[in-house]
Amino acid sequence: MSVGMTATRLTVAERLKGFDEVEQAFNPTQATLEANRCLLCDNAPCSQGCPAGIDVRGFIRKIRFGEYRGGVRLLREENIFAGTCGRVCPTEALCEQACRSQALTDPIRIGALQRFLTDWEMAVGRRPFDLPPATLKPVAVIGAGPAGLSAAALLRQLGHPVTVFEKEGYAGGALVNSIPAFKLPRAVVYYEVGLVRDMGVDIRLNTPVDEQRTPQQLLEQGFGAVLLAVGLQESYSLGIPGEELEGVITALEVLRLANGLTPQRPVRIGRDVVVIGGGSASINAACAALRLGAETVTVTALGTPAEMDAFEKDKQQGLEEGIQFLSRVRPFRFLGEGGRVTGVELRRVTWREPGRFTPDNAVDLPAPSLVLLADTVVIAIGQRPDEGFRRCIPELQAAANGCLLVDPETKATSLEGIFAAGDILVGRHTVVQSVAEGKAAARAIHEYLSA
Amino acid sequence: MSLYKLPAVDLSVEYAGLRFDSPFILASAPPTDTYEMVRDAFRAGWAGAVLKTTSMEDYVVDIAYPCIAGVRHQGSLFGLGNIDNISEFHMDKMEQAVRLLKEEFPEKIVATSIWGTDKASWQMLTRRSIAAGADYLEVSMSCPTDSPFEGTHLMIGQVPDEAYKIVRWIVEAADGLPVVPKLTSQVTDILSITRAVKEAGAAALTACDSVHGIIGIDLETFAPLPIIEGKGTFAGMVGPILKPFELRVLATLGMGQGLKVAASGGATTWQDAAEYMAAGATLVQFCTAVMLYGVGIIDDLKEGLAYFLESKGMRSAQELVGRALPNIVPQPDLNPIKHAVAFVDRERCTRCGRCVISCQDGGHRAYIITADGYPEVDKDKCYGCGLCPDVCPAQCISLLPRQV
Repeated sequence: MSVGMTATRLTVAERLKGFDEVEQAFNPTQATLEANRCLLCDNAPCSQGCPAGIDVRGFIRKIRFGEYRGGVRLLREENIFAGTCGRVCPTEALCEQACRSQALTDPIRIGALQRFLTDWEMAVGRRPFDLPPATLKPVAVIGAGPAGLSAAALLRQLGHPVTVFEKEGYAGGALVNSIPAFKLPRAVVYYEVGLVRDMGVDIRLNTPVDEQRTPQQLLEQGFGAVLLAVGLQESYSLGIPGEELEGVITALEVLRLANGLTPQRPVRIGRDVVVIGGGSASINAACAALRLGAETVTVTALGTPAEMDAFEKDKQQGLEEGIQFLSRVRPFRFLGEGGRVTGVELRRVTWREPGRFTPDNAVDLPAPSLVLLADTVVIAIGQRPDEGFRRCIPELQAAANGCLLVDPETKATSLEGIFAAGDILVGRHTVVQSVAEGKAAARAIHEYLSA
Repeated sequence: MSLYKLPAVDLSVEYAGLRFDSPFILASAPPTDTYEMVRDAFRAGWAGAVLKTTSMEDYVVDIAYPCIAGVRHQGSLFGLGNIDNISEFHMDKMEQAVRLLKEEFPEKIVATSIWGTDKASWQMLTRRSIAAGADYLEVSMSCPTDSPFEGTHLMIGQVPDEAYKIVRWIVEAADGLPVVPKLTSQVTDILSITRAVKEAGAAALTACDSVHGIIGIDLETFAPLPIIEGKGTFAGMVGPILKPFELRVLATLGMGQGLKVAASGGATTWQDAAEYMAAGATLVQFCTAVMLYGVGIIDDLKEGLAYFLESKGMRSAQELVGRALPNIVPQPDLNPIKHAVAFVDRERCTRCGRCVISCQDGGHRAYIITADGYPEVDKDKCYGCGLCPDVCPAQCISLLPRQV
């Protein structure tokens, strides 16, 4: 039995020269061989494993039968961010986990095949859209990230005029500011944002929705419904001494810097970097710091690499690139000199109950603390909703952390005509989950406005 | 709802005086043995179907199972062989299928395929096809699994006089219903057969039936595949293995006779179908691809062909028919010079040396290996024969025009 095709990856030396994409696209021969390995199952479980509802078997059969145009069509009809998701989806936990080919050898490289088709479309040019006229009730979407734009695209396809209000000067949201270009080239994001714009969706940049322009006012101005897809804009802090020292920064700041976006305050990556946190954002920031000039980068986390939240492929990349992992520690305080950070003091921890790797289950060990010297410390322990945004719509039902509570089916909030999708909802999100929620909200809004 | 604008091309074709909404129909074969199977195929989007060959109720159809085995080459399936027979369902069942299908899908084309044993039965099957509402009728006169050991050891489709006689009987009873003989590729001169059936009144042709073969020999038991109580038999071979031979037949028919042709045998993808059409086919019949992948492949066929036609600036499928025929010429008409020379792209070369081996032992000994292990072509020795580009596992060898 044949074993799966492996896409070419840049050597570590090539990678660290800049921000080029680490994994290269399949060439047509590789794509064909990989598609030929697909079992083309009846009731294909991969399709059921895709939150965005892509007909995986269908698009792979199109590759196999040399019908790339139709393959791209199948992808884009379900996920306008198919090229993004082909790269950043944790496929090993979704479609590829469901793949029956594993019973023979290993799963089909579905993400890589998806990306092959979308790259092909970017290279040869797409076909014109076939959209109904935008004659139904207009919808406002707040936030131009993957959830908001996926909803906007589907609403437009269903016949609604859509206006997207984006506070930043760019569209794409977390795809632009939180995912480094070596995982997701900017050209891919801008191409896919461009698809939404080309559908006739009005994306207004530098247009915040705040106390001056509230969601309720948008409803009063004639929008039939408002979708909140504002994401998580603020970083959690540790709340430990020394956090105010110069050189203590957030993962979001590192990634913004890596992505060439204007920082809100001057940020510099030093020689010895410590990153605190066990998620993919932590490893992304660590790998970005290496490319921004760091000589040593250490990721510290409560869990071991096996226990960390980060996606497997991110951990693998971190290890390949020489990121050091320091496990079962928690930061206790920052050390500084003349207002600048010089290191971080860490306490040894273990798990109270075995097998549950959450912060509330970590307990300090009666052991001496240890010190890591660092001129830059990156806090990567997660993000939370923007408080300013919450102030403009305080009546919404929300969890203690400020994330919104919605009807799980329709994504309707506690306020009439206001829906929500993406990271702003309670729970952990991947890009493809945001896409799926955006689509679910769009369908529910369409039904709500057709009633 | 398609997100992208689909090509504005007309996929419909005209064949035997009938309009098909696309060139893709199901061949007379297992996928058309019952009403339910054809119904599902029509719902999926096929333009028509020739029902599996049927016979009078008193004709005994014996089939030994298993009746199918695959042909593999280095692991991948590239053909099937079957030792089955015409349908176990007789004309009464097929009449019912035609009625139900035409009632539910009046715009789809339904044909019967018939097998008689004498003039009376051929003509009765013809009349019953008309009465049931069939749009046309295929004459099963080249099925390799039904006749090889009978009488002359030949199929009707291999003997011009026999073919003429049977088709004539059917045309006499057909009352204007289009009669389409199904040819075999296994003849010395296929045009002698087409002349005979055309003279007998055939409205169009189907080319070809499966090809007489033996699927394989089991080396444990020395029996041919599939094995039934230690024995086996000759089979009808189908699937991708047939494609080059099918193209040859289509090109021959396209250059030598006036009837429209439905290609049958070896097509899996829209590209295969487009090649058949370029070689002269108006319709393309499918069987093996459906048996392997299901009726849903019609989406891939229609969408792929539509995009292709658009890319070529063609507005209809009809324009594709026969486009390759002017370029297919007898070998002596080709200019006998060495047009090209092999070129190795070092960037992609793995230095495996397969090109060197092939050129050394099967070509013109034009390769040398450089000190750093790369193959290099001696332009004076290279004939540009075309072997090495296909041998190269990295696909890094191309033929470039020879600089004169």
